Amino acid sequence: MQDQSQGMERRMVHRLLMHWREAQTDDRHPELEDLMMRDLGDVASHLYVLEIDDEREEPFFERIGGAYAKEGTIKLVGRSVSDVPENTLLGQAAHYFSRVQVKQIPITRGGEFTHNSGDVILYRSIIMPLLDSEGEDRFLVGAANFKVKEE
Amino acid sequence: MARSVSYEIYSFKNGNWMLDSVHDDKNMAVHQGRMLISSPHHMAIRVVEESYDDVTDKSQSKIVYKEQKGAEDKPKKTSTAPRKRKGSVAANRRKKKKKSGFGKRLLILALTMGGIGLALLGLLGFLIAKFG
Repeated sequence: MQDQSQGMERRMVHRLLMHWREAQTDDRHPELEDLMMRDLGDVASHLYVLEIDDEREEPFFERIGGAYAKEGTIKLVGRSVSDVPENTLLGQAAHYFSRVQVKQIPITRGGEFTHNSGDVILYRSIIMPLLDSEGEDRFLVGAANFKVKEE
Repeated sequence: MARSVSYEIYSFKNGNWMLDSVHDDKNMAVHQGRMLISSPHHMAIRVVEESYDDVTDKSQSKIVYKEQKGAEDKPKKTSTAPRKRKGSVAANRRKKKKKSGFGKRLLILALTMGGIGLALLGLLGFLIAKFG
């Protein structure tokens, strides 16, 4: 990506947060569409979107990026957050969604866990609030990347 | 986990400190803070370290980074060159004031002495006229 070649911050969550800020037109959160229309580069495949539906107890996955295909969590589109196994990248990345939903601010988090594949994973994640096209707080967008911890 | 630490970024916007974002990594939070202060919408930034101890149920917070717009300009304002010039102008004014004050006093003294002299002359004239 261009910003990488310019020696700027390379962490994916940081770049996504910068996209989120740049998509803001005023003090309110950006709209989902405005964020998705941006050239997100390699971040795009790591994204997942949670939709908040008043008729459902929990937000559900509106979309899940291709980076989650290998661990099998990509098939959870339409399912609630609590349906994601905890020992997956998506499970770790999305489990603090309620804090973002309540505080309505971006939150980043990282850590270490044992993946269901047996590998010890170091990950970094972010969840940010987004508006729908009518200006309602309806979406949460998240992303995570990881590396396998070497023994 | 006994102790959890998070870093909260606060931004001063429209006269209020607003919570901007929360991070679990200090470098990330400080870097974000630096990015924010460089944008025109943020007047001041603070990164506050919030630590919570499960065992003692105590929390602590401390500012680990703060930046304010215009803070860099202050030393320029207090630099010696403009101060010297300002100082010399003020000193000149004081000197001028001192000079004009001394003149006034001299004038008052002369007038007073003249008045006393005239009064003495008048008294002398009166005594000569009366007693020859």
